[in-house]
Amino acid sequence: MMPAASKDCYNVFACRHKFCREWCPDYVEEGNESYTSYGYHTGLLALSRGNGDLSEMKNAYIHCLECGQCELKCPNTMFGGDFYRVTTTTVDLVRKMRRDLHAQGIDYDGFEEVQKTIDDFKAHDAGPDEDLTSWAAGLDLPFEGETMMFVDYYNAFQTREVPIAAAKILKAAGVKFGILKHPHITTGELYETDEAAWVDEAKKNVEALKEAGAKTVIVVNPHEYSYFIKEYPRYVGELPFNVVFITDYVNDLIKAGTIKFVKPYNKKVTFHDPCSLNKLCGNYKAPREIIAALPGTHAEIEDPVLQWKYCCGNGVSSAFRKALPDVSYKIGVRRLKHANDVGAEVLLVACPHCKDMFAETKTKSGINIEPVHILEVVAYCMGIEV
Amino acid sequence: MAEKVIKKSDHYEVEPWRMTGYIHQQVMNDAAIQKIMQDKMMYLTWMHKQEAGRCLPGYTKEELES
Repeated sequence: MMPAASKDCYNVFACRHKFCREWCPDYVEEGNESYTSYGYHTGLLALSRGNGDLSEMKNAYIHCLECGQCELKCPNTMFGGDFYRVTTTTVDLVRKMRRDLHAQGIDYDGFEEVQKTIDDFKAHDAGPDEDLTSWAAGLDLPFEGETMMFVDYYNAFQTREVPIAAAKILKAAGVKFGILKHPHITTGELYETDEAAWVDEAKKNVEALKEAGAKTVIVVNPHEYSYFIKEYPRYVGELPFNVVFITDYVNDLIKAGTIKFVKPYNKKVTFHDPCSLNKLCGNYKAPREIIAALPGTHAEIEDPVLQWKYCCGNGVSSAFRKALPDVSYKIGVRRLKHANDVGAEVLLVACPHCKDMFAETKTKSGINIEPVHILEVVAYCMGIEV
Repeated sequence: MAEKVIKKSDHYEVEPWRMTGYIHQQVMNDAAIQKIMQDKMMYLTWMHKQEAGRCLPGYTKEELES
């Protein structure tokens, strides 16, 4: 193993605090320290010293939601990262290990489901352009503009109501924007299987947005938002446009008075911070401000720090949910029960994966709380039919 | 201070030459640094709310020497 990686692993092994495991959603359910940031770094350190074989790691690195809690809470990051410019980068490590194990033919149990998703997305990419933008039928959106809305494949095919709500909200607010005729694959499952292919798709997305004339790119999926602002610059350098998440953009429109609410949403709500938005990107204010502006809503929302310990159970790359559906379910149940405990009827989310995961968990568990995307509520209060 | 550090507008950093031996610095942009500082203040604020009714400021140099 490269000396630099070995030293990084020693940094975490030497910590001993293990703040990483206290709030790790997988550790809270499974109680297996091998699957914490501490376990991952220590395991690699042991390997680098000749103890054990890579094949023993077969089912280790899939037990990570890539939520980023361990990275930001690690004292190496939190109390020294800004001083030393050295941080704990567990998500990078997990992605790399998943790639390296796959390259060695050591795939975790359940990988077939993940490969199927990758194959499906590649089929969409190879298919007709019209399919990729069929969610926008009837909305008359151009394929160019200084403001572009980037809609990923998951939103385009699984949770169409989210980009449709976003587009209708922006149109009603008088925003002129376009969408890509052919967006390319962004999914995390590809990133942690074939990095070169994912980077190739990333470069195509950036080039296509640039050619469309984008100065501002509004992203609707927080997973893709984290890729645009944290991962893309590693491979393409500084992006030639500003990237903004949809809740920030909508919040600015509300504050500017261009979004007007015409009917109340008379529900008791709480909000689940998406991991990719809160933990990975430090973005938590806009959804709270939007909810505070919604008429008729009674909100009970926890501190974003407390939300570091939660996850919907999907995982930032979704591979976790596919390979470990039982653990995924337990993590989601814990979050839904907590939302129930604060007295909410509705659990507002800002991520299509969270919405889908919570909907499935609610159906299986029978917990009486409704997961609703925040954009759907904004559209409702604006009197827009989605 | 006993050690020299680089003073940025809102935080201190180690002199980069000190991070060229055992551990090398990562490539980090200003946004990443700001996120670490934001996360730190959020966490400490939350911890203080759990543990204390009020946080006392540290003594100034003059107060210590008087």
